[in-house]
Parts: sequence; structure tokens; C-alpha cells
Amino acid sequence: MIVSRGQLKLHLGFAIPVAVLTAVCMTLYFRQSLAAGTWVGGGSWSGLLCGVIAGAIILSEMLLWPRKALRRFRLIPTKYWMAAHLWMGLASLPLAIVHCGFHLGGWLPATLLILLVLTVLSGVYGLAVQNVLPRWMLRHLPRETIYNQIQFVSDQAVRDARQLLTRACGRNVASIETAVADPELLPAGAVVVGAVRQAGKTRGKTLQTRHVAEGRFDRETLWSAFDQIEPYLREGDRVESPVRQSYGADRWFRRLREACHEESQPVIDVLQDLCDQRREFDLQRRVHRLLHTWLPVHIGLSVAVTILLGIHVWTALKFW
Amino acid sequence: MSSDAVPNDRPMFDLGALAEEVLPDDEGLFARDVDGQLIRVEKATARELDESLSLTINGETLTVRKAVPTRDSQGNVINDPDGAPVPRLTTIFDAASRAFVKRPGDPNPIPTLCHKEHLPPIGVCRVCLVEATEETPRGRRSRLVPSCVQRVSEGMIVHTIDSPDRQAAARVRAATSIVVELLMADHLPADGEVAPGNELSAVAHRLGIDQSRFWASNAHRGCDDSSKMISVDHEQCILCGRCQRGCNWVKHNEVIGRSGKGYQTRIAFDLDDPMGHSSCVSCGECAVSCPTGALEFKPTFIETQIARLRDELRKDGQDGDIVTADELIGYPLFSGIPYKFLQFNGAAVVRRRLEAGDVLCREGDYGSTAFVIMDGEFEVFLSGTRGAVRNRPAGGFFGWLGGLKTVAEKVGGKAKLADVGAAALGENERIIRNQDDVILGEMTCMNRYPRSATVVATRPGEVLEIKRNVLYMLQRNSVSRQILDRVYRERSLRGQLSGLPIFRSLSDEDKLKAASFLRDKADLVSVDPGQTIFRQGDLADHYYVIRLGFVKISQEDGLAQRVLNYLGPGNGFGEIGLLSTLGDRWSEEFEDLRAGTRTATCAALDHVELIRIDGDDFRELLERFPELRDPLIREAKEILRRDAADRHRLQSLKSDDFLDQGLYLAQSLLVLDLERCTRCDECTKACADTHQGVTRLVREGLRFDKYLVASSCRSCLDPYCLVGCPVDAIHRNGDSLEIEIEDYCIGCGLCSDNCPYGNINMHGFPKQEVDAKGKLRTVYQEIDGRKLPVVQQRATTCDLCKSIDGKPSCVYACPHDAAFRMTGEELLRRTQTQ
Repeated sequence: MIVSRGQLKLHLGFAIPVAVLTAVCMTLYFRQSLAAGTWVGGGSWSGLLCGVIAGAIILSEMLLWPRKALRRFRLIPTKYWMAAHLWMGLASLPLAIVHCGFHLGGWLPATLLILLVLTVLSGVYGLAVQNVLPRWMLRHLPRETIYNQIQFVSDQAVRDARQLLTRACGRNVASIETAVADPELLPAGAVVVGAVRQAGKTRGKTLQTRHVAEGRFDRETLWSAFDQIEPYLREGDRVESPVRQSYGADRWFRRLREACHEESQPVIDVLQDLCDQRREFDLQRRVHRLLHTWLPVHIGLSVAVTILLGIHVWTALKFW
Repeated sequence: MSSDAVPNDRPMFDLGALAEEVLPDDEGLFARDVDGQLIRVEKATARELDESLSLTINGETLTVRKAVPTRDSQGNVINDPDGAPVPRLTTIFDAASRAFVKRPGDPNPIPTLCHKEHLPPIGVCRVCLVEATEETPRGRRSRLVPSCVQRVSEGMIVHTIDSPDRQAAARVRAATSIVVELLMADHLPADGEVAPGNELSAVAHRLGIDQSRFWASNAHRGCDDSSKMISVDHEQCILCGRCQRGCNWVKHNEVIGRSGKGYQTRIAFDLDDPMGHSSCVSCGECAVSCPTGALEFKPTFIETQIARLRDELRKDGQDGDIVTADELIGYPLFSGIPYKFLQFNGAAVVRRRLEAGDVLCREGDYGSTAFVIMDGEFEVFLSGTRGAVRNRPAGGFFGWLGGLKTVAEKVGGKAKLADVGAAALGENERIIRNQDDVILGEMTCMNRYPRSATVVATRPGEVLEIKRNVLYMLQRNSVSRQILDRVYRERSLRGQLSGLPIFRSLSDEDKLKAASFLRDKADLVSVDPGQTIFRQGDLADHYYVIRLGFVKISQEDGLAQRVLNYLGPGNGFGEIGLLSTLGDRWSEEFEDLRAGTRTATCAALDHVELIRIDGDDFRELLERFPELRDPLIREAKEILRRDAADRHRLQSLKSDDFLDQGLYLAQSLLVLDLERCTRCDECTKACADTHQGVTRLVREGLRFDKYLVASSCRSCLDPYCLVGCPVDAIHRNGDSLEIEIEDYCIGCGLCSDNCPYGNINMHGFPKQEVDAKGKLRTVYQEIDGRKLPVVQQRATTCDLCKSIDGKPSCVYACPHDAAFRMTGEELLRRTQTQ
């Protein structure tokens, strides 16, 4: 959830009421504590009030779960849920702390409070990465694709590269039988190739039909180079490759350019571009993990807090 | 050709050499093209489009053009790359149709089987034989010729089976009868039971043939029942090639060909696969085209379609009785439509009875139906303002928090669309329509824009409400097409003239006077996408107002071409070139210009309709209404000033991609703000959850600045996807934007192919059929001992969650406020102000 000036209205709508509620509860607590001359505990009326509100907040935060399962029902737009979740979740921590009277108490309340702190911290971490990483991705990963389609797009890139090479220097002698079996290649004498194109602010793939040319002296060099980079184009940084790192790739492609005919330079440009794309995909994969792996931790902690909260309420009532 | 001329290493049939070596007379009227196909030697020339000749058919002398423009199956003229119509020679059948078929339902004196006027003629069945007498170098000569492929010539005398010359008619009738009897012997069912709509049987009946005098062949070609929709009876196939042309030429599916030879020749699907296992998309065009019982829709399919349509009518709360194919075929207007098409679209025509004061259709509503007037009188109300549906801030708490709501607006503020009270015509200018006008409400079907008028019954009446696909079928017939074209042109102009943008400075009274002055002078012009309307530097001869579509205005500056602007419906252009020729005072104002020439190039971005006013009429208009001059000059000077300022910039309108990608047409783009989007895919999941597990959006697409235009239906102003659906399962109704695909979609994939943005997808759904009780039930099959539903492909697209509550789930479910619905123009504005 982004917290920015553009969404001020959305956030203020929840932040102000929550802040007011928290401030009122804490004021009441401090007044009673001042009157008592000590930090009153959860058994005092103001401590209990703070505890009840914090508990209610924790339970309402957990309502996000059923809401997600019932996505198809119109249960208030999700952005309002998220804004409420954010500000109420933040408010639950100070309320829980004053409910404890600034003591950890026994093992149960202590565990509960520590878990709550961890939950809130994981949420704050999530909020932070959600505010930073999408912008970073927008600037640094122009070729990003849908996360679980990375493999598909990579395989497509390999097919494109293969066709480009066929166009540039003829079919790979080593795998000529495979090429003969491809009905699109031979009868038409042309291949359809894809390349990344940027026009203004738009970036995307274009398809072009080009005629197949046979027998240039650098055919074997180019195909051999392609054989070296193909595993990387398919698997990314999971395999060792000379083009895995950006600086290494520059050096490698420079040597390839020197070894090849001048007419092959545009093809090498496209190959290098596809390697850059694959590197971006790898980076996207890592950033995606940063952006999303906190969530299972946050959910796990939240579930633990909710269970312990139930036990805490039960024991508190039992031994009142 | 001597054998010495062919070297030994040459193939036996050297296609390359053929073009030079085959002389026109080698194969009579025909030669072979590079594929070895028989073609006519003579090709029509553009000049022949303007040349006329006279001939006599059945004693009636008529004058026709030597050539006519080639048309596609919908009657649209086919143009060459330079924009000139491609000519084709006028045939005897064309001439006879023109002379004898004046109104829908009039009989043509020439019977046909393999020929239909929306298909290219191939002359294989010879049922359309006529006796043609013409002057040849060897003297006067009479021959029996197939009229569908035989060109007309000066002084030609033609006799058909209905000729008043009894002897000639008998000769033609005898020859035709032999052909028909031969076909009957082999291809009419032996039990004599033929399905309604069998054209072979109808031709035999017309010729008075009860039974063939010939024995049937012993060869059997079998049946194919593998398709779930169409049954193929090869025994009844007369190999007329109509199915083949329907599949390959009309629908471009390229599935049907031929296999075998001699008596075993038959139509084949792909590489002679069973129909159900071939790449056939089940669009139904082959069965609709078939003149015999060789390709028939299965009764279960027809019953299921009708049941679904009935359900749909009931769900929409529409009244009216479904008119059956048997009843419809009796109406002259529908007599040109194949019976099987009417059967295929079992509930495509509904009879509605109206009382005085009942509203037939409302202005601003999207519609996919037209109304054939059977009885009664109707009044047409025009408000002259087009409405639009927009997202605007919602009221109340959620509005304060940034929530949106969908509202109907028209220029000048909020309005209830289709407001009957918005009529802007005086009492003496009431527009009344009755039976003589044949049809109402056809414009929305033809141009896919919202309805342009409200129609109210003035006394009790009856109409037949027909779907868009029935109207398309009517367009295949030239007589019906002429009626539709005439009313379309007349009504398009009528509604627009008083609202022309140049009349803004006139009083209401003067506006009507000016409109009346232009009434017979303005013309309606259609322009194809990409076609240039005029070029920079051309002589200025017309003023244009855009009725439908968008026009790109660009200027050449050295080698570069800069897009200056794009104009939508309601805008005028072309006035600067005309104003600069209006005498001294005008010349002073435009001293930098070459008088009377165009200052920019204008080209159509999509299908454009223009109101064209001749330059002389435009100048006369300015003479009659001098108050028009100053505002026009001011506006023209402002445009020129802006153009001059833009010349110093690289690109005045940062929108090349915006135009290339067709975003100007978009009314509801799904736009994701990538600075906010955390790629959580909640939008996609919510979409899938809302639509039975099938998502209707893909979170991938073009980027404009920080915005991603996701692949989801854009609700285009002019939706190409609506064109040509064989069962009219895809349409837009009411006053909302969504494109609806009904459950009775047959899964042919045409809409998916038509969508230029890939936003319609085909998905498999359990197939349903009606059971004995008339209820729809899922059809199951057993595979490896397991009972599994039969899967049928169906098109799906974003319906803006209209089926739920009209609030798109993707936007509703986005937790980060990153998903928006907006028009293309709003997106452009946002990216330009970043």
C-alpha cells in the first residue's frame, strides 16, 4: 500500500479517526496512572479499555483473510480495507503496550507482546518495500513481465534468437535435421523474428518476416556463441554462463563482434539485448521475492498472535 | 504450342511460361492463371466503370455499365492500394438482377444454384443457362451460356426461361431442365423428402420437374456426423462450391476443399478429416451457404440455440413473440436470406406490438437490433447531442475518499441519456415513419455507435425486431442493401446538419435555415482506415465534418511528418484552404498561405464517415450567413498560430503511439499505475473469481509513462469485435459500455480475430443441450471410463462486471489503489501532465 500525497485523502480518512481513538485511550490511561502514581495494569479500567480495543483491532485485522477468500462478493473496495488495516494495525501496538502497563508479565503475555511487535514490524517492512520497490522496478526493469510467465517469455526469447540466427547466417549445421522438420522455415524461405522495440514511451515486441540467407563464413561462430548463451537465456542465473554478469557479457559480446561479419552486428545486438532481458528477469525474480516473501511471515505471525490472544483472553477471564 | 519449344528438363506444366504462351483464344473465354485455375482472359478496366452499353433481356432493353466495382460479401467496394475501386465485368446475371429485381422478393428470371450475388461466380452448375445472341466477327451467333460468368456486350439479346419468345424460352428451359434432372437423380433424397430451403428442389419445382428421368448413380459418398453442430450428407452435395467459397472467401477460415475424383469427388475438411476433427471453427457459414441438404444444422443444436435465446429474452425482461424461419421466409424482405440462416438464428427476429406512446428505442442507448415496420406510425425525436458514459467522483464518504461512480453525461453537463423531452425539432418538422420507410433503428447496427434518435409509436403498430446479423445478411442482397444504404445516408445527414460546428455562432432559427440550405448539397462519404482524405498542398475543394470515427491531421516538415492533432466526431476540417480563396479581405488574413491549397494532410484512423460540403456551396453559405465569417477566421488563425508554434517542437502531439495503438477509441481502459502496483495479481485473481475461474484480463501490455495498459477489453467507441458474429452473440446494449458475449456463442472465434488488441479469448466450457423437457443440461462423454463433460469453445471478454453489479472487480479488488478505468483521452492527458 502506497502512502503518498496522491492518496492523502484515502489515508487521512482512516489515520485521523484511529489516531484520535488511540490518543483518547492513552490519555485516559495516563490520567489514571498519574492518579495511581504507577503504571496501572491490564486489570484497571483504562488498561482494560486499551486491551479490549487492541484485541478488537487484531481480530478485525484478521478479517482480511475471509475477505480475500470471498473476493467475488462486494465487501467494500479493498483499498479501504488495506488503509484501515494499515492504520489500525499500527495503533494496536501502543494500545497493547499500555494495556500491559509497560511490563512483559508472564510467559503468555510476554510471548503475545513480542509476537505482536514482530507482526507490526513485518507489516511495516512490507509497507516500506511496497513504497520503494515498485518505483524502483518501474525505473530499472522496463522489460519486466508477469512473474510466473518469466520461463515462458525466456523460452520465447530462445526461439526468437534461433530464428534470427537462421535469418542472419543460415541454419545450424549441427541441428540441420531439426530445422528441416520445421515446416515454417523451408517452404516459405523466410522466418518470423521478434525483437524488442521502443518507440517513445512505449516498449514492446514486434514481429518481422525476414528471408533466410545461407552460408556466411561466421555461421559456425554465431551458432557456437548461441549454444553457449542458450542455457543462460532459458535458465538465467541458475546456470554458469559467460554472459551472466553485465560486465562479463559486454566483454564476451565485444569478442564475438570482432569475430563476426559486419552484417551480423545487428543480430549480435539483439542477442545481447535478449541476455540483458534475461538479466532483468533474474533481477525481477529477486526483487519479487523481496516484495512478497514478507507476507507469509506477516500472516504466520498474525495467526500466532490471534491464537495467543484467544488464550490470553480465556486465561485472563478465568483468573480475573 | 510445339513440343520442340519445351526443353526436356522443363516440368510438364510450366506455370512460369504460361502467362506469355497462352493466348486468349486457347481456352475460349478462359485461360489459366499461375495456379492453373481457370480464369477469365478479359479483365475489366477502370475506364469500363464509366462506359455503358445496351442489351435486351427477355425483350426488355436496358443500359448497364460495362463493369461494376468488385464488392466483398457485405457489399463493400473493394479498392486497390491507390484507393480506386477494383472493376469486374458486368455479367448477364447482374444485368438481369438489375432489370427485374426491383424490390426484395421479386423473382429473378434466371434460376441459380452455385451462384449467389455475395460470392464470386464460378459457373460450375450451369443451372443459370441463358441463350445469348451477340455480334461476333463471324456474324450473329446464339449460344447457351452460363449467365453468372458471361459478360454483357453491346446489342446482346438474352433469353431466359421466362422469355416472352416462347421458342427461345423452351430451348433454355430444356437445357436447364436436363442439368437440374441430372443433379436431382444423384443428389435429391430417393424418398423425395427434402428439408425446407432445399434450393435444388425449389429450382426443379420452378421448372415444373417432378421427377428426374435419369437413374441415380451407384456410387455412394457417405455421411459425416462427427461435428456437434452440422451433419454432412455427401450424397446430397452437388459440388457447387458455395460452402467452399463461404468458408474460404467470406470467412477466410480455409478449411473446406475437395477430395477424390469422378463420382467420388466430395467436399473435404482440411486433409479430408471428419468435420468434427478438422480445424473447422463451426461458424455455420458452410451450412448457410449450402443450397441442398448436404450440410444441415443438427436439430439438437437448433433447439439448444432457441432455448438459450428464449432464456436470454426472458432474463432481459423483453416482450414479443419469436418469429420462426418458416414464417419469416414468407416476408418479401427476408426472402433473399437463406432459410438455413433463419433456422440457425432461430430467435433472431421478434415481433413486437406497440401502443401509442410506447418507446421503441431511445437515443444514446447502445443497440444491436433494427426494426422492420409492419404496421403503425412512429415519430422520431432528435436531441442532436451525443451522450457518453464516464467515471466521475462518487458522492458521500467514499467519494470523499476518492471513490468513483459511473454516470451518463452529454455535452453541456449531466443528463439522463435518451431523454425524450430533448427533441429539438419544431412541430412543422416532425419526422414520421411508417411502413413505406421499411426499417428503423438500423444505424446503430451498421455503425456500432449509440442510437441517434428516440422513436415513439404515435398509434398502435407492429414491428419485427431483427438482430445485427440478420441485417448483415440483408446487406448481402443488393436490393435490400440499396434500401438500407439509402435510408442510412438520408438519416445520417438529417440528424447532423443543424448541429454542424460552424453554425455555433448562429441563432437557433438561422441554424435551421442554414441546415435547410445544405440539405440537398451535403453528401455522406465513408473512408476506410488509413485512407488519406486529402494531402497537404492539394487543391481545397470541400469542407468536411466528422460524423463517425477519428481523423489524424499531420503536416510534412522537410522529410519528417508531424502529427498535429486528431479529431473525433462532431469536428470540422478543411475550412482554411477554402477561406483563403474568398477575395481580398480573406487573402490578407492568410497572406502566408498559398490560396486554395491544403495546409495539412488528413487521414482516417478508423472507419470514418464524413459530411462533405462542396467548396462552392461552402462559400455561398458564408455569403448568405455573413455572421459565420468572423468566428471561422478567428478559429482558422488560431489553428495556424498553433501549427506555427508546434513547428519549433519535435512533435506537437506526443501521441504517435497513442494513435498507433488505437487508444483514442478506448472508453474504458484498464490502467495500472506501476508506481503503486505491487504485482500482487489481486486484479487478475478477482477477475477469475468473478467469472467462473477464467480471468478476462492479463496484467501485461503497453506502457505509457508509469502506466500499464493491461490487456482487457477497452470498450472501444467503434468496437470491431461486433462485426460479423454469425449468431449476434456479441453486442452492446443499453446505456453502458460493456461488450456482452451471450451463452449462445458458438465459439467460431471471429470476434477474437477481429479484436485488434487481443482482448477477446476463447475458453472451453461444458457443452449444454436441451433435454426432452426443454431444459438445458450439460452433455457428458466417457473417456477412459470416466464421465467428463463435453467441452465447447466460447469467447470471453471483460464485461466490466455488468453481470455482477457493474463495478469492475479488477479495480474493486486492487488493495493499493493502483488500478483505474479511464478513457484513452484521460490517459493521454495524465501522461502529458506528468
